[in-house]
Amino acid sequence: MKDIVAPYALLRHPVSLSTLDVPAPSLCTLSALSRFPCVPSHLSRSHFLPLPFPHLPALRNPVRLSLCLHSPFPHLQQLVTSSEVRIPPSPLGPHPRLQPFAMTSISQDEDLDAALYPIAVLLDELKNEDLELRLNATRRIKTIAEALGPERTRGELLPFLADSIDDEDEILLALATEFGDFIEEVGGSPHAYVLVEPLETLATVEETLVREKAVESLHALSATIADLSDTDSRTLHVDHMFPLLQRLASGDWFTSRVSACSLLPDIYRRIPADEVNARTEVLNLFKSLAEDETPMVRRTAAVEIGRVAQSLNNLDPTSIRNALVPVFADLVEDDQDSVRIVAVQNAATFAGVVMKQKTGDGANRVIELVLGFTTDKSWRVRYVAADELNALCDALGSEPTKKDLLPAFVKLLTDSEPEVRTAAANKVTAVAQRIIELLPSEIVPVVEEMVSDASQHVRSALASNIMGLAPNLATSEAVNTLVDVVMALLKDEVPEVRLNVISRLEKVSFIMSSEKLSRELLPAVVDLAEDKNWRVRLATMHHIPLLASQLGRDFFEENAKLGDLCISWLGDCVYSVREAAIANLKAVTEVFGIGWAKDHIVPQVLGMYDMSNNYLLRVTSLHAIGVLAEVVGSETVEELFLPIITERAYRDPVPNVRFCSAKTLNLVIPYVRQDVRESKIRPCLLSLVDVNEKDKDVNYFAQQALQKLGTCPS
Amino acid sequence: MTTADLDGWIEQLKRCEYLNEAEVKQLCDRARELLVDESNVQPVSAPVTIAGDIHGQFYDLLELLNTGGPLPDVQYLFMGDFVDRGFNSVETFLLLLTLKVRWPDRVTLIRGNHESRQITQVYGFYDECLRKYGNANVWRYCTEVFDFLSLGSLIDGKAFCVHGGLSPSINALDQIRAIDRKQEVPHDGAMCDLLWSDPEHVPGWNMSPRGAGYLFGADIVAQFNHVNGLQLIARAHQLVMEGYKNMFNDTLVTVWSAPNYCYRCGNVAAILTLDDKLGRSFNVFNAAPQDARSATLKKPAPEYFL
Repeated sequence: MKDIVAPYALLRHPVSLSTLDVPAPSLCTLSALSRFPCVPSHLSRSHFLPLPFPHLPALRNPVRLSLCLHSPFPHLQQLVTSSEVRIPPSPLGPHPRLQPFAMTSISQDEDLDAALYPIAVLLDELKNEDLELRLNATRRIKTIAEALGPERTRGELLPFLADSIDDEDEILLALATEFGDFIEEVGGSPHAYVLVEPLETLATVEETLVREKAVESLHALSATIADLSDTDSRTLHVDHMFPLLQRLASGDWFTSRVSACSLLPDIYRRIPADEVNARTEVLNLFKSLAEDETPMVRRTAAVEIGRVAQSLNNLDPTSIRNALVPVFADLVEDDQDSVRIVAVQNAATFAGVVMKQKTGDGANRVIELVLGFTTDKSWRVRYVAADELNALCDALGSEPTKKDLLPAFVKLLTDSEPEVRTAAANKVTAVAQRIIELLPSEIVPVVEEMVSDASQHVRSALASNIMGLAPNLATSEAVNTLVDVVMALLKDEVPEVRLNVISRLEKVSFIMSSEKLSRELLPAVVDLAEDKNWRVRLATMHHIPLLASQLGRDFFEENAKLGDLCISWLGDCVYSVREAAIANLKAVTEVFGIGWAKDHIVPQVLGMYDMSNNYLLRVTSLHAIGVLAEVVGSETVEELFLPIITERAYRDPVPNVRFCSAKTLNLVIPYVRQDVRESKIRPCLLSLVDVNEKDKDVNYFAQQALQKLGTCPS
Repeated sequence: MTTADLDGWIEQLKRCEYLNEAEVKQLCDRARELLVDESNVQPVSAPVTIAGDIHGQFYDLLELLNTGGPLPDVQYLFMGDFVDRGFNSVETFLLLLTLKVRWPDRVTLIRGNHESRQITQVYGFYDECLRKYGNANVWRYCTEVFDFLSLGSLIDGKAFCVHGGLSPSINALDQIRAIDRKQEVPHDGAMCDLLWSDPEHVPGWNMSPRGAGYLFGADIVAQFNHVNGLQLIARAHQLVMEGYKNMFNDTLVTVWSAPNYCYRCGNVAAILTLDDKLGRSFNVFNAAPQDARSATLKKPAPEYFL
């Protein structure tokens, strides 16, 4: 027996084994093949196909087997290997599972097309005990269907698959996915309706994922057919989808009714205009689903109501006011807060449609309902209402926003629950943008109150949004109040609150014009810069380049403290802060220019090396030199930076400092002229690879720098 | 196994993705070759940063490196108990071992009482290996490395680092150097005591409530330091809420590097930096925040998809 081993790379494509010289049927099931040691175990068994006629018991040994490659690319379709093998009889006898419907007729056909062999395997695997194999085969039912042709797919494959409906959820999910794009396989749009029935079954199962996928596939089916052909679309939607909807909506178990809800808007839209009765019926179905006894169905109705309204808007606008607004009102006043929450989340879409209709009473009723959210007895509903506020403002339009939503917003800002206040505070900017002329008398006092809110999350949300009010403030009095608010937040006890103010400063040039505030800002930054949590120090530092560009060079020079801070971070006890401090210095240099850096950064960095007894600070100083070299210009590098390394650092008693010298030299090479490289850097590095240098890591980094020296263009 | 391989492994491990079995084998073989040449009391020159128990708290180890600084710029000495109890003993030990192999002169690992076959079978490392690799091979490779770890370390001849503490059968460091350490941690005797003992504010030697090792007092430490010309004994082994604890007139210090130990103790952790003149400074750090943990949790797709 010879080995049948195919080159690994080739086996990425489906491979089929076929007999070349087996005249009579023989039994060679896949399981028999897989027992061969020669079949690489990493191959999925679906790469192989059995010999034909697996249901016949005769087995002729030995058999000549060929392994050939079936590939979509003709040039890869080749005989890989062929050898004589002896197939052991299967201890189980003929494979009981290998007799699906298709085989009975295939077996009559002596001139079996080799392309059907893989199909036989897949069919076998559709019923295999191993979940993985079943799953794999299910994902490839398109291949099977292509081979069988549309007629047999409809007549045999679909019923066959319908039997597997009590399988594992994973299989059902794969099936639901495949059916979403299966129209070609069943014979194009005139036959597309045959898919409705299997998908219907899948749309009623208990597992939500499967159901949702089935509904998605039904949507896809409906959309594709609607695009392809009007007559087929009419048949599909009137004769199949509509009854489907009726069946689902009257299902015993809530799962089918949930699916009905999700399908409803699209089906309504695609039922042709002349089928008035069907449409009225669909709308009635929706009404009854929205009053369903289970909250799950009512929730889905709440999700879909916006889309139902959109569908109605084009075809039957009056029904919105007469039929849908009452349904919406019921959902909004549902006694389950989980239903109300979903209703609020989808209210914007619905309200948008109603408001566009410009019929006074419908709109007024909707505004009334929306306002109801903000006083709901469940805080979770109020929270969602606060969260949805910008969408609701947009949906209702500017007039109701000013008149009705603004007071409601103020109410949410002063809600009894901190979560609601936080969500509302997060919308300050968004709401302010939508109301051009804000009424300071209403909102500013509330905001002023919130500065002393008991919850730090509320204050923190306020701090990150308060700046949004600035452009809309009408009076200078209001501006002053806002400045006071910002100042109070800058003194908050929680670092996060202060940090949020500082991080939004770029939006408020008005604050910079306030002398009072910029005086207040500095202590706040200094305080944060010395916070005991190093992540706060780090976060503060990230805002320094921004402050630098906002406050300007003069401010930095007048207040030496800021510059000092930048330097003092270099000596922080936490490495991450030191490292960020270096990046910060580079960023500030980019803002203020080389001249400033030469006066305010370079001497300090060098001084730090001089004064430090701690090797970690010497290392930091060397890192800083390496990074700053990119921005300070080659003159500074050569005159100020280089000497400290070539005269001192490379001879440091601590090996870590020596190899950091080598690393820094490696970094500064591009910013140093050729002759200086040779006269200063090379001798240094050579002494670090000398036999007297015993430390291997020093050798290693010096060696790397020497290589760079050799290759770096001057 | 080249330098580039090791650098790649370090990057991978820092994402909390463990190496495959063959790579672990390679790594452990190389680590043993290195460790076999080290002394029972491995000499180290200052400056060095000393860390105590890690206990598989991988993200806190990253936090430690963020605080102390990266290798090789900073020299580290880890005083044992890398594994057990935390969720990521495998990644923790493999990262430390890879760093050791990549920068042998910059990292020193010494043995803790949890670097033992018996203890790891009880406190989680064995189960974790089994869960992650489906067999015990990786555990076996790692425990073989444990046998080669030094028992202690001597910094510039003045500071003695050991996981647990002293032993009544040891008066001089040379007696430690004479131990045959390449074995499973025994139940008693000098080697066991070094990994299990605790200092205590009572004079002389006393029974340890741990059932292994001894409790030793200030007089014992004073005598040991005098005989061996030491200034300091640095050890780990005991949880201290403040991260470190000086005892006996600063002649002994406990360093603990597992913040919020077992994810519930609420303690801070510390590392001790000895500068080139053996001046001490402690760096206290907190547990890694939640977002630093989840950011790296994403696993790559399994390889078996062709």
